[in-house]
Amino acid sequence: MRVAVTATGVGRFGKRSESLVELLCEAGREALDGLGRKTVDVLVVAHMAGGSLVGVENTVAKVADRLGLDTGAGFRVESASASGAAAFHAAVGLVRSGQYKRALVVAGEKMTDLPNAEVAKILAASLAPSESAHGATMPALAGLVAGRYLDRYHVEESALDAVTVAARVAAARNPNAQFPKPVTAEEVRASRPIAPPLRLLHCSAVSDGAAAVVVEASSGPAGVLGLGQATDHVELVERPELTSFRATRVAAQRAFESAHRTAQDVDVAEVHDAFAPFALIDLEDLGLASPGEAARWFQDGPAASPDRVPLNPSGGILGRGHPVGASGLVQIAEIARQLRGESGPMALAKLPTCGLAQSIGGLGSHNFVTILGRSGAGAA
Amino acid sequence: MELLHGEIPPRAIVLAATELYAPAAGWTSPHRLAIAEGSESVRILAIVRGPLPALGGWVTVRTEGGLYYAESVAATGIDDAKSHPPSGTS
Repeated sequence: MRVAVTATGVGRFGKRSESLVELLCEAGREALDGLGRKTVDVLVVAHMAGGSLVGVENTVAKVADRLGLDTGAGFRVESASASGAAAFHAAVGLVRSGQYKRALVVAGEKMTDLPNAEVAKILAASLAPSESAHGATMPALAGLVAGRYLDRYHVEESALDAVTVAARVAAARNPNAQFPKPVTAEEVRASRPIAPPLRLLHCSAVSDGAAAVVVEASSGPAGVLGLGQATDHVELVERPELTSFRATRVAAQRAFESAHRTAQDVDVAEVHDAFAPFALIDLEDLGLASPGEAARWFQDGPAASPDRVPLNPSGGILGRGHPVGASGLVQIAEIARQLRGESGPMALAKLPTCGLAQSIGGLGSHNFVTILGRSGAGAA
Repeated sequence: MELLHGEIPPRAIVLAATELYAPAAGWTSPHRLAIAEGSESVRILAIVRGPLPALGGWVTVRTEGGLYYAESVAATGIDDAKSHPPSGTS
């Protein structure tokens, strides 16, 4: 069965006054509006930590009730910061199985109600307890990975600055982005150290926001061509590689195989750049750049590399903001919009026919790759 | 030197190190952490005592209260007698 994204909804990211359920419903309503009179028969909701962050549970029933999805079916999915992608993958499976005809997937997070230190503690719950016991946080482990990457490949720290600069340039075209103002490399370099080599502007920000998509049997332009996911050791030190995320590599291999596509077929990609070095690692793990070569994508500038895949045209997580539960789904929604010609000011010069979204859960311990594109030869 | 199961290497090479300027509650800033690799490619995440060790440098490793602590060999003044190459896998 060919399944496609047939409608999308994306709310504004940043500090929002609405509740988590209201944010989820705002995005869900926009997606439902795109369906016309058609109805959905299953709702899949994702948020990473609504209970801990804002004391909200039972979100399937609350969202269904507000959206008027009376007596429908529903599930909640959680996979840390990849929760949105996980929900999408689950929804595709539910529709492909024939059990449901049309799924509404909504994913969001409400993070700004708590002080940053409290949020960091909640996010750290996705790490290995043994590493948290040593005082490791998400930025600390990302800083260790970043330092190892730079040292191993002899990459200058300025490469990380270039990632942030590129993200902010793209985010300036995204009306829903949390950070629509570009920054210079000097401003990035001058931002305060967080976990060297990581500085503040190398790190994504606490954010509120939500996204939604509708999945149904369709031969539309945003067809689900391939899905892949994989877990890895939760403890960073248990992994043989520190400068690559095996879960991404395996997920990508599975997604490309199921799509009958290769990295060379990808016209546009949204990757998980919660920390600037992750963008470099993502490109290499996805096969879009050779190991140690991804920094040149950003340092050369887009004019020097017209053959390279447009990356994070929505601003990525660094520019768009990172309401953790939403990020995996908004990537898919933005790719679907690119394929459907609905990206407005973020539209690429040439309408893409194959797009990829990659989402990282935890510190690379549960990652997802989604390939969307026009149905045709090779569609799964 | 062959390690028994669960045993940690007394010395290890630093693969990565950082200092956290906004540490979790209960830790002082900067909170220094390192990933170090000992014999048989055993890797540990350790809290760094003293200055941040250089990547590729040696640290001594101790366990206290179930936590690993690392300290630069230069800082401890212990001469590195039994070096071993890192696995070089990443």
